[in-house]
Amino acid sequence: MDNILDQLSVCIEFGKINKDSKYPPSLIDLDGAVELTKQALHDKIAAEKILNEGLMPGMQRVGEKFRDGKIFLPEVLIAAKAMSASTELLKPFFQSGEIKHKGKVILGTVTGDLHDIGKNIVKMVLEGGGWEVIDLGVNVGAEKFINSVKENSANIVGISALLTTTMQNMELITKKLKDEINDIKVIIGGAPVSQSFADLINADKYFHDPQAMLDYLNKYYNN
Amino acid sequence: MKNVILINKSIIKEFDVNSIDHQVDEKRISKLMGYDDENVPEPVIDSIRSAFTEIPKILQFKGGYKIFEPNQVKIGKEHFEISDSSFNAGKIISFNLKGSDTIAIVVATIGGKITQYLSSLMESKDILRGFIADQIASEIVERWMDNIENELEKLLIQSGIKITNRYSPGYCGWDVSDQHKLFSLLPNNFCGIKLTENALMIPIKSVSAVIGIGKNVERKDYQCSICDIEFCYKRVRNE
Repeated sequence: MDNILDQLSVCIEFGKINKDSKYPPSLIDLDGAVELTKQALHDKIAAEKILNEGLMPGMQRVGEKFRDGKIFLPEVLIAAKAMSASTELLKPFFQSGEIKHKGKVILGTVTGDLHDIGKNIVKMVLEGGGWEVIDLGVNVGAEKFINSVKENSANIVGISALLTTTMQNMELITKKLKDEINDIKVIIGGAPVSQSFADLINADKYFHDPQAMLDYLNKYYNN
Repeated sequence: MKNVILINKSIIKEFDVNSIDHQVDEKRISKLMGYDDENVPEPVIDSIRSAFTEIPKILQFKGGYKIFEPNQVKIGKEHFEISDSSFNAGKIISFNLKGSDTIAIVVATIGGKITQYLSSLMESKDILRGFIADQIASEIVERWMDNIENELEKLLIQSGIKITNRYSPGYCGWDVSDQHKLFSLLPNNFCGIKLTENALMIPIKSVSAVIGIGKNVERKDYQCSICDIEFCYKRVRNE
């Protein structure tokens, strides 16, 4: 491979976390995302360049393969785990402002609903795609969403629901968010939800899978 | 299987077992996630195997059904009634219950320990394992429900009585809020399942359904083609 950043992008794409990772077999005993990120930092490659030319291209290829039906959600999560291991090493650069997230998303499962796996998967994929995610957990009401949006100066909220009863609570939360905060974008997801329901409750978008949400955010709201 | 109770002319049965032959295996779970036999990545296989080692130790199988007296049941075009409760189950379910002489409410759970296990995976940020374990748990509770449905069928077939498919609140156009009315027709704390205000069953890995019973009914393929919920779990499961 040409250089360390290309190698890094391949590790992200195939979920090679570190040298000890046995997966994928084609990269066995080679350095993984952790070692290559450390090496790149040691070689004084700018953190921004590591992020944009090493990590992101790997995740981008993952997204493309998922969209094309060549891989499935578990492989997106495997890649996101490698991405997460690398971005952990870049944390100081995010904190210093040397590199920036693409934007900030507030996530939560709607009032009355305790299901969190879908939301957690969305969180992992968005973080893997370079977004900062504030996770409010489950059973989140309008006030908590509003407060978090204000505290974090965010303008995108993702709400999840798994039940046809709790999805009704999305309407009130969406209304209160829109009444209270200018230009807030509300994205909804979960098994019983659809684009027609999103239209009905005046939410901005519905996505069936986290990659589609990431693609949309990257296209329209990337800082 | 134990605890056979007769209350008036309704029949209530409750099951409480340590293990079942659920036949949920690596292949089935891989398929549910989209894979064929050949292309399952190693970390996915590892996560499935790890979950299959842990999950059986913590499952608590409880389930049961209540068959109502025929004179308590009425089936309309878009709704059905049991005792004084009316259920707006919609056209698909009502059509498929048509011809039933009576209805059984059936519930099944694999207990609360699985919820703790799934939460612990999520807290340890092992989302892949959490996701896969959740898929396995969901599939096992459905298979447990299949077993109870089969028990019901075996009981009735001796008298030449057949059953329909099972239909659950929240699917095929039936609003899950009707769950409250459904559970009000069962004995208190039946199988240890409780409902939250929002009709969420606790333990979370629980299922409930109605099944039509009669001499002139039959089980059919799921009619997902006439339902507009594209990403429904039933659609994935029945593919």
